[in-house]
Amino acid sequence: MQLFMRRFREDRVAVAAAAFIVVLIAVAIFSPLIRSLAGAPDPNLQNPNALDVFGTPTGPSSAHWFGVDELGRDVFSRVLAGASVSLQVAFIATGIALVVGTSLGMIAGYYRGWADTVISRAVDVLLAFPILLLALGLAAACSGIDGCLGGLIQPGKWLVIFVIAFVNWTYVARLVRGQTLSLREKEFVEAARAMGSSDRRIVFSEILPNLVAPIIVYATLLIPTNILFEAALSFLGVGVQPPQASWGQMIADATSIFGSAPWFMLAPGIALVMTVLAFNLVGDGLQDALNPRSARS
Amino acid sequence: MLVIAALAIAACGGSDDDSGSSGSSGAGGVSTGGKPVDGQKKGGHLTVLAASDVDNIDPGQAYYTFTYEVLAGTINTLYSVRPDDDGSNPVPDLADGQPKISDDGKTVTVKIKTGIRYSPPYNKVVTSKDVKYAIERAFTPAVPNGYINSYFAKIVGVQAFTDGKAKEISGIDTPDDNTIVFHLTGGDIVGALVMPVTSPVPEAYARKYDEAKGQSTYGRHQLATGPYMIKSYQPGKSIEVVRNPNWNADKDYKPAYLDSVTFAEGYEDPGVATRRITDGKSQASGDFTIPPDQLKSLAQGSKKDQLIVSPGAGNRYIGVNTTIKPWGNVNVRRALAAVLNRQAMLQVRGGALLGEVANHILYPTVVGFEEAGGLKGAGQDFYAAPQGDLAVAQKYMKLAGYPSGKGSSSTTVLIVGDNTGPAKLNAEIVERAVSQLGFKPVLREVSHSTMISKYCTVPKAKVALCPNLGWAKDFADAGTILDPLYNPKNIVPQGNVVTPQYRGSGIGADIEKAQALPAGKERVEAWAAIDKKVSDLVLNVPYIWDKYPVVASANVQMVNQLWNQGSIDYTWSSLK
Repeated sequence: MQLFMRRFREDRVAVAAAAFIVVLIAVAIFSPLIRSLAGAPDPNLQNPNALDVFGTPTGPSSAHWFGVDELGRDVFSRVLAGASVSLQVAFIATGIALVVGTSLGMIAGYYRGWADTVISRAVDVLLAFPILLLALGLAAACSGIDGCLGGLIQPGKWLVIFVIAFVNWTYVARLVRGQTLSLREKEFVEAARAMGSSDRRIVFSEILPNLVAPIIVYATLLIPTNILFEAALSFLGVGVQPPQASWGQMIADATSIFGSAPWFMLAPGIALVMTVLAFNLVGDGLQDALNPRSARS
Repeated sequence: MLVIAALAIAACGGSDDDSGSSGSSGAGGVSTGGKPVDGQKKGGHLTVLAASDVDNIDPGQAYYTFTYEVLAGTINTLYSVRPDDDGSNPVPDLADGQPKISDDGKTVTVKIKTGIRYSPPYNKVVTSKDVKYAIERAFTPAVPNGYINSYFAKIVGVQAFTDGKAKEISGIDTPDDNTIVFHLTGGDIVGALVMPVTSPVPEAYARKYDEAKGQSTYGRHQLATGPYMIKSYQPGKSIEVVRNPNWNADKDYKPAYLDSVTFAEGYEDPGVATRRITDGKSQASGDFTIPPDQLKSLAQGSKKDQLIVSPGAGNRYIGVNTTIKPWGNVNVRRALAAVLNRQAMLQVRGGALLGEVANHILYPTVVGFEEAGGLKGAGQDFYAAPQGDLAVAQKYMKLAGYPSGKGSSSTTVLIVGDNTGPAKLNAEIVERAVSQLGFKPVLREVSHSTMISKYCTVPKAKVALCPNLGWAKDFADAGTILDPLYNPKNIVPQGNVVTPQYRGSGIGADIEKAQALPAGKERVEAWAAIDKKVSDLVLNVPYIWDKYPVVASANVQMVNQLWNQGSIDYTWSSLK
């Protein structure tokens, strides 16, 4: 652990990116307080008086630092609120994908046989789909007024989380299955088995701890992908529902008026790029720190 | 007619300069109606860019604004409206003079012009029997027509004809080839004689198409009597109209300057289409929404003359389903009207250039608008504040039985709105208004066509509020708005536009009574009273009286159909 921390600290770019993520999480949690300190309005407050006489959004000003959107809502407040949505979706969806993918991957890799066949073929089938199209199809199918699965899944944030997790567990499962197949043949597992340990004990006490490092690395790479995924779904109109703010939805709204209000796209766009970049840099840093064989140039 | 297209967002302001436009000047110097001018040139080809196809090219089935625009040059209805008229003053078209109405108003005699000939391949002379057949076929299942039962059902013998007990409608006489007589059980038919269904269709030619399996295919093979005829029609791609060689200019008031017109469809990106038109030559806009930023730059820039915004393009309202709690309570509906920021609803669509804040259903240019209160409305306090008034809303919520002035957050309100453009923004403003009342709004955004076909016209979908509905008159009679929208007899399981589904307060009887009145002051006042009633009961929440923008290339002398939501009239437009 100490070696890992030392190696990670040496990667200054990764440390800076991690600091940015910490700040971002703080911003997402304390956005109402930050808004209040900045004197910015509620992200959902519609203010037609902030539109010009043509009904188009006005640009940055002292009252609205990042300007307003087509409903006169403060873009600064909505970018803050969007951070919360993006992070929630990314963390929860990634968490679900990790739990499901790790569980099924370990079952497939450890037990092999019919369990491996069923899970691996399911993964193969899901991976054969164009991911964005599959997600779009699922999201669109569940975006009706009744939702889907008998109303269990309703349009909105949770639908986006479900769709992203549904798509992403396959990658985790494949990674974990491969690792488990390799680990189950290692001497320490053989030793545990010879000592009479149960399968459950072997899986949770011997194999799972050895999967943590690659899973963490993969998770840090999956989070930014999922942030972009959420943004893409919202951009395409099947993401979070109004009036909830989402960076992807804000960018989508901004495209139609880009000619007259280019600044509208700037704030959510920069927030999205910075966030994704930060997670990717942290992911790279973790990978380097956790992998003793990796050499940094 | 149902306003299907999500109409454009526009802009106002700028200078008061009104340079060069043939129409009158509106806000910001933008022309508010392209009128004919002296010295228009003959010849040339115009291309009209459109996003979608016509609803049905058959004049017996056509019911969309864009279809009317296309058919304006190919058919002659008994009466029609000049482009610079809002529909109040129909003039004889196929008819030869004004209709003769009997003293009791129950017999209407129309003489039709002699020597009008059909386009090739038929080439024969139009007779009054062709008009009779055109109306009769619209009562058959092969020619589904959206308005025939509303406006022509009071002809004697219609019931027997539709029941299959008679082979023809006994109440339509054709004593000679140039006379058609309508015998009515009551009401008024004269206003409806401008509808496309009154354009002649020769039975000898059309019957084989009308008797084809399923829907009639006559539209694809239709004959023209107007200055133009349809040369080719590729659904969803293009409609080409060329000069009708059998057209007699001496018998038609339309000048028909252009040689030919192509309606190029499939321009789904309105930004690209608008740029192509304004930067190009000999083009004009058809059915699509002009993006707000382009409209703004057009209104402010050097291309201002290429933009025309026409008044009287219809109304916009929130459809309120009174069969769903809590909307059955009139005071809750009044509270919604009070809290709704109608000014914002207009502002996000483009502001004052594109309309006015509405406070009742009838809109300017509709006969009866002034009698119903005009721009000021009937003076109800819940329509008094265009920006919305929470205090008034809370007063009505208390009257509705909510002592705190706020509804229960456990009461969910399903709102189905558009998922794009300004209509989406309107839906989100309504969502906020509902939450201000204390209820829990559940907004579902879908495509406009899905919103119409699956939810807001389907009672069993149980949608509480539909924020993106609108209606435009069919002709100069307020009944063409109030009957379809509020008459309980029009409530149907599919395609229902009686969104409130309200059967109380004698609305149905009032409407039937008004429909039975002959044209005149009494009829106008009866409709105005109904407008006041439905607006007072807030059976829908009106929020905008629309104006409609169109654009054309710089070399196009644009003339608009004020009666048809401001669509370009190619029978009057020309190239410079």
